[in-house]
Amino acid sequence: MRFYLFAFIIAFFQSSILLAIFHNFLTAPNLLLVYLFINLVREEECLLKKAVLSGLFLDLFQDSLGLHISGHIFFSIVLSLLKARFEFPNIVSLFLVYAFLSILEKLWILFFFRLRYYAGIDPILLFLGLAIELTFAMLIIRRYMVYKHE
Amino acid sequence: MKRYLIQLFALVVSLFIYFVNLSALPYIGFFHNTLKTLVQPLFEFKGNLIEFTKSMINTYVILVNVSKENQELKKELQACNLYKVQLSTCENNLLSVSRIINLPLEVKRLSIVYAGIIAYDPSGNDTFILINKGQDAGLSEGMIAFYEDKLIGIVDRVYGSSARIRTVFSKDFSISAMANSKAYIYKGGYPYGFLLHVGLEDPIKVGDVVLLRSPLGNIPSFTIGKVSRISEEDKGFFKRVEVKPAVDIRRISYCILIKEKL
Repeated sequence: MRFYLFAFIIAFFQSSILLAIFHNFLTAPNLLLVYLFINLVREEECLLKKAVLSGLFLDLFQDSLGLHISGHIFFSIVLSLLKARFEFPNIVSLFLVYAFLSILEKLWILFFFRLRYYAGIDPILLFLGLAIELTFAMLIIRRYMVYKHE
Repeated sequence: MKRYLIQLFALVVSLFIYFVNLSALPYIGFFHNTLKTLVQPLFEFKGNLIEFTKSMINTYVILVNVSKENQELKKELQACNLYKVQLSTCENNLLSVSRIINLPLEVKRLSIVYAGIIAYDPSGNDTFILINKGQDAGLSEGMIAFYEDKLIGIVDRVYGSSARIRTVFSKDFSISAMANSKAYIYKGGYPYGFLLHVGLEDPIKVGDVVLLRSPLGNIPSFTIGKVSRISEEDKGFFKRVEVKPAVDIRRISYCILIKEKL
């Protein structure tokens, strides 16, 4: 339950404040994805429910029903495939996996969004958004690893 | 394997929902609208938060720009202060010399008035402007209006709390001017004014600065413009000299008037 409450708050923050700063959700950092990643890594198997509901919260706030749900499910599938094949014993490996998955998820969202609509994307804002997201991911992953080893 | 199949199925369903625009379907639309009504206050709060964040960002950007501009203006002010000190030294030296040679010299402080521009010439030829100061600020006809070091024109009508300035673009504007240290008459025009009575042998060339000439020496030599074109008239003893006025009337929102007549 705690996950869903936090996911709702993060989705609201992301859709109001970050969206106002970054103009559109394609360039805004997806902090909810970081939170989802940490929760999926912690569990034995990647739960579909968490991916669907976190995506749904974003879709409800950003009026893009289905797009973020699909992005989060795709993220969850690829992560579960990677978890089945590899181990992520340290911060760097977890961070690299997140960076790879995050870029994949962004490309997924961008691809399906551009199939229906046109949106101009500012490369500087896109890079800035990704940098903020990865910095946030680094902080969360470090905290998670410290918590895990205690 | 079953788990992956479920996940793939969910992926396909979510993409289907996205592409069919589910919320617009007639049966789903009712539930969608009900749900939206329930969470309306949250969406309103979100909208207000977005507006607040945008206004904060805009305010921040404006403040940063103002801060940068302020720094630049401070530097310019320092340079102006230095120039003022230099001029003051020159003035003292001049007074000393005048005392030595017994030449009466009076250094007069000019009184100025700042005025906002309230109307431009609707014809688009910039022949006049209206300002928000008039008899109430002690203005009278014949006073000089300028912006930075550029001449704008001369006050030609004064009303109770406004006045009209005939600009350097007006055909009715004529003033004593100076180019290459020689006196001429400048006649206004749009987009180019003219220097009158420029002899064929006068060494005026394109790019020369045309300055205001004050016969009494009581008004500084403001820039009228630059010589933009010279051609020889078919008959007569004079050249046709076109002058591009320095001031851009449409870009200024205020002007300064000297409370002295030319």
